This record gives sequence, structure tokens and C-alpha cells, in this order.
Amino acid sequence: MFKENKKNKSFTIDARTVINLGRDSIKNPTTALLELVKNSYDADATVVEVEINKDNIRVADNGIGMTGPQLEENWLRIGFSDKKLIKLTKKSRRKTGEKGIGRLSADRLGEKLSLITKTSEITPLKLSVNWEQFNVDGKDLSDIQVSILNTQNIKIPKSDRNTGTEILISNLRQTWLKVDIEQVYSELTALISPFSAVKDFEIRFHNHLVEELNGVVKSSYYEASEISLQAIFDEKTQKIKYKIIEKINSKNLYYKNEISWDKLSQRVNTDIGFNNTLKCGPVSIDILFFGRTKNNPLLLEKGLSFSGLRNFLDKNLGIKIYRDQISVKPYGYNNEPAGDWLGLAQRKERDPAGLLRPSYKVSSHQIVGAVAIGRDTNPQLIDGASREGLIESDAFYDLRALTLACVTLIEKHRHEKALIEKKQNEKNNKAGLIEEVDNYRQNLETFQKDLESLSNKLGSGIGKENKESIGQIADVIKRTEETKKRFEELLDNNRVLSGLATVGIAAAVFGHETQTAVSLFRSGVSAAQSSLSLKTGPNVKRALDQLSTSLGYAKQVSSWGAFAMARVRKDKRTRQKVNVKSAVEVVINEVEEAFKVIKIEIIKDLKEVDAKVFVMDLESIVLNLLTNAYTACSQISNNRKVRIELYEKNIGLKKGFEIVVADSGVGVDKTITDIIWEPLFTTKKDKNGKEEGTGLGLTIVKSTVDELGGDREVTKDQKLKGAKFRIWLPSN
Amino acid sequence: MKTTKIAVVDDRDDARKMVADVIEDAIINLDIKNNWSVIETTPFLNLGDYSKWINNEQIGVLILDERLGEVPGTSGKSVNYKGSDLVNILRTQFKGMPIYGVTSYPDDPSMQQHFALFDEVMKREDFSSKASLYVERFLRTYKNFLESNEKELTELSMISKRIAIGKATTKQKKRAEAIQKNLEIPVTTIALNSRKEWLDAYQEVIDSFKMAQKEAKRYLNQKNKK
Repeated sequence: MFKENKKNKSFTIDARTVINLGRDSIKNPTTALLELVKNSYDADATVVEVEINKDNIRVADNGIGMTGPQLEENWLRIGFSDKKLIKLTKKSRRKTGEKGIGRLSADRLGEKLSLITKTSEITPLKLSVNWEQFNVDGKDLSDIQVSILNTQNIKIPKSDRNTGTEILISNLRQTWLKVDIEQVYSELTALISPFSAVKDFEIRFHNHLVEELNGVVKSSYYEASEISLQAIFDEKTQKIKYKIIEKINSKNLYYKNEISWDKLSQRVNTDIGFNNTLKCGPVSIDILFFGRTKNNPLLLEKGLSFSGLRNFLDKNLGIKIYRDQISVKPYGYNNEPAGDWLGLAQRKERDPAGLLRPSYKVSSHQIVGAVAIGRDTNPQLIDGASREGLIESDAFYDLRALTLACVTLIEKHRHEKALIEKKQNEKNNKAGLIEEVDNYRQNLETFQKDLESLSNKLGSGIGKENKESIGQIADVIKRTEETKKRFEELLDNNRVLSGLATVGIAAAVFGHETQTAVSLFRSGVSAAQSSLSLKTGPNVKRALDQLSTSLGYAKQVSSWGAFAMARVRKDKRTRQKVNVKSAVEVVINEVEEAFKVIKIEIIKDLKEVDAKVFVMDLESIVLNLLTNAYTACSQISNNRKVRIELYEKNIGLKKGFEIVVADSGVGVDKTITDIIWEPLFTTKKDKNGKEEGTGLGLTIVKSTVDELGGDREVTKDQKLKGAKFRIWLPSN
Repeated sequence: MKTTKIAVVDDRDDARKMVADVIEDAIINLDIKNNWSVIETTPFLNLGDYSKWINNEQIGVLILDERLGEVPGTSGKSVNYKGSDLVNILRTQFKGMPIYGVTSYPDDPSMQQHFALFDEVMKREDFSSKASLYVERFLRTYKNFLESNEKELTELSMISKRIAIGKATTKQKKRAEAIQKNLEIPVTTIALNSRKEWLDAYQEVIDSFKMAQKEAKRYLNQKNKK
């Protein structure tokens, strides 16, 4: 029976603890090997040799080495790490591990360990461990003996001080395959950030399976990126200074800018939680964008192959986190389940918009990047309980949002560049969809005529098959004509639907006024009746006043009914020459009363413009812009003004006209001027922040303008201080 | 003679005037012109101004529109609150005061949310067509409010007298506190149970001062002798 002993007791440690901490806690051999390389980095080595042979693994460095007492008191003391006390090495490297168990990872690689180490003062010492000795029942850890002997046989990379450590692991626990070798190599290339200031740490790799990987671990493919972004987040100012570098044929184009987080955060998808004031601490972010195209001129320039680039990207893609220059797994490791910590693949899948769309997103396989943080500078980012990852705290989510926001900067840059290129390509040669079909048909007809003339020349020598081909072309031309008609029908349907949707949107906004008008019309009639049936005799003057007011509201109600009907009249759906000024005035007159009621002043500056247009399109554009301006003004308490301008404007040789609708509302922030045209995006919110708008009005404007081969832009109006929408349309 | 007023608050001039007109007609038809009148105003930019206005103008019944912030007032600015927000604030000071909503949008979600704070919410056209009936209802509600207030004030006066002479029971003291809270009068009867108790406490303070004075004199005399 157990007898209570009053003397203090201490824990005893079972020998198997070593196995639990080493072999069992390290997820895979790659991670185990990387732990040993990290130790070489912490030992201030400038070179580390990593060899994976058939029978053993060797890791040798030219670091500072260990003395006998250091081996005994530090290396053999589990859980001890001087890295907690002395955080920087003599080379000012921030030490990577603090738990004092990284060395046990050797057990994950093989049964036997031989460690030979040499400092500048003593002859080399050799320590041998057979990890299987710990795998026994009922033994205390201290019962297992480890020998330390003098030796002369040490093979370490050359250095001035001739010091270092060589580790040999034998009786390997797994057979290394080609795929494992490639994995290790890939992780070694990413171990030290390619963007970091560390230039004095070289990893030399040797293996027996994939010969082309032997040599210094380095990739030239980093230099083949087409765009790179360097961003620095300042915690105090909550601002991001960034530089986008575009590499074209050895010429680098630089775009420098600064943006506050509250503005940049508007570009981040809302399903990623983050704070308005970022708590992650100072961060610097480097992102490289690779187009993955064969015609990347940088490949040729650097003497690199496209297949090599593809191979490099497949292994290195992702944005990694580097803490004190050393990568933190699993972030940015594409072979890890949690590697895509930014959800880049998922967001692209959700919205595969192309480059010309404002919501364009890069593909996850086009991005390589590094997020640099430090243990001392970012204490809020804490290690997770396992040997990999950070705790998913507010600070971590903020880091994620910030990184994603930086990705959107590249996306915005690429999108804007693509738009400029598109415009340059189109120059003055804008053509709508129908025109494109027409051009196509005309080309085919010319081709058919050429063939027919050739056939006539050749006479009977043309052959039956060629004759059939000519017949097929005629058939294609016929089908093209049918397609054109079908397109026209579809566009007409689209026009009607857009017109109806515009009426619907306007009804949602101005409908409130109509309901008020109906209510006041009925109330006025009742009030007039009441004034005429007073006990003291009828008050005729008041009754007349009330009837007059009622009549005003009745007109408002009936004009609204007529307005809705007039929008989709068939004659407005055919392209015809019209006086644009009159058409715009009609729309203004129909909604002006609603503006007057809430004291919005409409300032008109309309010049005479004649153009061949679809009136319904024109009305849809003007009405949607006016509806927008009405809502923007209703959200401010005073000085409610809307200005509408119309004038002729030619772009190059193309004749056209411009419509400007500006308001005195809160305006559109610069960071969302591209997104506001997208479907379902709305800035209309009630005072509780609940979205009120449909997010369709400007999308209708966009699709109509684009379809007509026009141009559109939103900026800040310098006079009214709110939004200024500028629409250009061709005159014919 | 100063009349009690039915006040209309609305940001739209036409709508406000229409409601005021039909109320005025109803006052004439009900023959209560000597005691009642109607006033109207655009919403005040400062919510704090309502309390003074209600007291100064002797307002007995208040009629509010719901969407008060659509049209800028004479100052050129529109207010940033709704009728239901206003009634929510007014109820903290004017607990039992008759407050009605007259609106074109009785189904407005914010109106529905604060529905219980209004005595009634009416559709504008319904109110205009039956104004006399509604005004009669206003007067009844006001009368009940006044009678209830008067009854409670009389009871409070009686209990206060008993507290002053130290004869109030615990039940009466609790009742006095409840009335004061209900009528939004600062609760003055909780700290001390009666005037006698207050005087006793006052006397104690005076006595302690006298003792201190005596002690100081004795000390100075002794010092002079030395």
C-alpha cells in the first residue's frame, strides 16, 4: 500500500518522452530536415550542406560549433534553449526556435544519430545517439547513456574559423523517393525568404535521385516575374506605402503610392474578418506576379525555360509568412491543406472575372510572395500549440486581410493596365456588337467572292470538293445574317428589360414620393370637405387652397403613371435621329417634382445635340444617373444640388456627345470607382448601415454604354463636391 | 386666456398645414375654441429643444409625422431623426402625454418598432377624413392623462405633509416614491423619512460645530497661559 511520504517529490521522465517529442510530433521528414537546417542558421553558418543519400542523411554547417559543456548542458538538456535568453546571434540573426526540442526531429529521419562538432578552441567532439534505446518500457530518461568522445574525423564546409557541426543520420526510417527529394528542395528554396536581406546563408544540396537539383539551392525564376509589389504597413499611421514594379524588356516601370488602411480595406472581401485598426503590428509584404505565358520576354532575357518556370511555380506558388527571415509553415505551402491561408483559389473560383472586369482576381498559381514579421516586432502574432502555424487571433486575421488587400493592389494595377491597353487597341475604331457581326459577314462575303472569281477562272478544274466549300461559305454567310438578326432581337429584349429595370429602380426611389402624393391628394380633398362643412359656415378660401394643393399632388401621381408607360414605348427601341437635349429634358421634367419636394435644386446646362440613338437607352442612362444623384443628395442634410450637362464632344475622328450628372452628395471614394459599376454593388445604406440600393442602376448604365461603344467615368465634382458621372456616346 | 394646444410636427409644409387645418376645423365644430388651439412647426434640429417648447407652449397633445428628415427646414438643413426616434426620447420626460403618429407610411419598419410608444398611429388620409372623431379622442386621452396626474399629485401632496410631521407610514412613503417616479418628479422623499429627522440631523451637525468651537477656545486659552 502506498505510504504518504512528507518529503517533496519531483517528476520523473520516461525515456519514451524523447520519442513523443521528436519522432511523433514532427509531421513529416521534410519538416524534420528543415529543423536541422534552421539550427545551422541559428549557429551563424554561412554554408550548410544537406545530403540525402541512399543509406544516410548528412547535414553539415560551418557555424560556431559546440564545446563539450555546451553539448552536455545545452544539447543534451531537452527543453533548454539559449535562444530564449539570447535572441540574436553574433551575425544579428534572430534565432528561429525557442522550445529546445528541434534537435529531437533527427529521430524522425533515422534510428541513429552521429553529431560531430568543432569550435575554434578544441578538437572535434563526437556524440552518438541510438534513438531506439529510448523506445523501451519502464526506463527513466536519465538511464539512457549517450557517449561524447574526441574525434578527428569531421567534414564541414570551409570557413575562416574552421568550425562547424556535422550530423549524420543512418538507419533511415523511410525510403526517399524522387517526389520527396523534390519536396525537400522546394521547401529549402523557400526556407529563407527570397526577398529578405539575408545574403550570407547558402544551402548546398546533394541527393542520389534527382541529379539536376544538386548544387546551391537557389532559383533564378524569381527574377522572371512580370510584376512585383513591395508594401510596408506602418502600424502607427495605419498606412501602407507600396511600390509596384513592372518589368518589361529590362525596363522597370515604378508606381509608388501610399494608401490608408480604411480605404484599402474597402477592396477586401467582407467574409474575411478584420479590424478597422489593424492589430498585427508592422509588416512588410513582397508579392511577385507571374503571367505563366510562354511569350514572357524575361524568360528569354534570363535564359530560362517556360517549363522550368512552370515547374518552379508549381513548387513555390503561394504567399509565405517569414518570421525573422525563416518561413512559418503551413502558410503559402501549396502541398499543405492550410497552405492557401488567403483563400486565393477559392475567391478566384467564386468570381472568375477576366482582366477587363473590375472584380478581376489573380489565380493562386500566379503568385509567389512573402510576408515578413518578427517575434519582437509582432508580439501579437503568437505560435500555435503544434510546431506549425500561428494562433488564429484577431492579429492573425488582420495580417491575412492586409496581405489580401495587397494582392488586390496588383489586381487593380493589372486591370487598369488592361483597360488602357484595350482602349489603345480600339483607338478610334470603336464598334458595337452588331457592327462586329457585320464586319465579320462582310469579310466572309469578300472571301466568297474571291473564291467564286477563282473558281470561274479555273472553270471545271476546280473540283467537286472545292465547289462544295464555296457553297458552305455561302451557308455560313446566311447563318451569320441570321445570327445578326438574333443578336438584334436579343439586344432589343435586353433594351426592354433594362428599361423596365430602370423604371423599377426609379419606382423604388421615387415611389415613396408617389405614395406621399396619393396620401396628400386624398387628405387634401377630405380637408376641403371639412372646411366647407364648418358649423360656423363654410371657409371657402381655405377649401379652395386645399383643393389646389390636392390638384398638384393628383398631377404628380398621374405624371408618374405616364412616366412608367412612356419608358418602354416601341418607337424608343429603334435607332433614330433625335434631339438629345429634348430627350434628356423629358426625363428631367418627369422627375423634377420629386427633386423639388425634398429641396434638391437641378442645375441644367444642356446644349443642342442631334444624334442617332436608341431613345430608350438614352433615357435609361439619364434616369439611372438622376436616381443615383437623388439618393446621394437625400443622404445629406443641406445644400442639395444636382447639375446635368449635355454637349457635343468628339473623340478622335469619332463624333459624339457627353452627358454629365454631378451631385452634392457624399461622393464615390477613389478606391471603389471601378467596382460601383458591378452588379449588386451598392453604396446606398440607411442610418444603421443596412444596404438599401439594388446595385443594378449603374450596371445598366455600364452595359448600355459599353454596348453602344461609349465611354464612362466617375470622378469627384470640383464644384458640387459630390460624385460626377461622365458618359460619352457616339452620335451615329 | 391661454389655450391648451394640439401641436403638429412635420417637415413637409403642405402636409403639416393640412393636418393643422383639419384639426382647427374640428376644434370649431366641437366648440372648444376657448380652451384648445392648434400650432405647427417643422422639426427642430436640436432634439433638446422639444422639452422647453412643450412646456412653454402648454402643449397637451402632440402629433408627429414619421419621416421628419426628408425636407430641409427653414434653416436649410434636414433633421437626422424620425418621428419614432423623437417619441422614444420624449417618453422619458413626458411619460403619459398623448402623442399620436399621422403618416403616409404606417407600415414603416421603424414606426412599427416603436408602435407601442405612440398612443395611436394613423394613416394621413384616414385622419383627414375623420378629424373631428380623432380630435375628440385626443381630448379624452388628454383628460384621462390630466385626471390621473391630478389625482396622483393630490395624493403626493397629502403624503408629503405626513412625512413632514413624521407621521407617514412605510407604505405611504413607498407610494410617494412611486408617484414621483411615475410623474418624472425628482424623488425627494427617500433620503430622509420626515422633516423631523432632517432637523435632527441638522441639529447634530450644529452641535458638533459647537463642540469643535469650544475645544478650540480651550486650547487657545491654555496656550496663552503658558
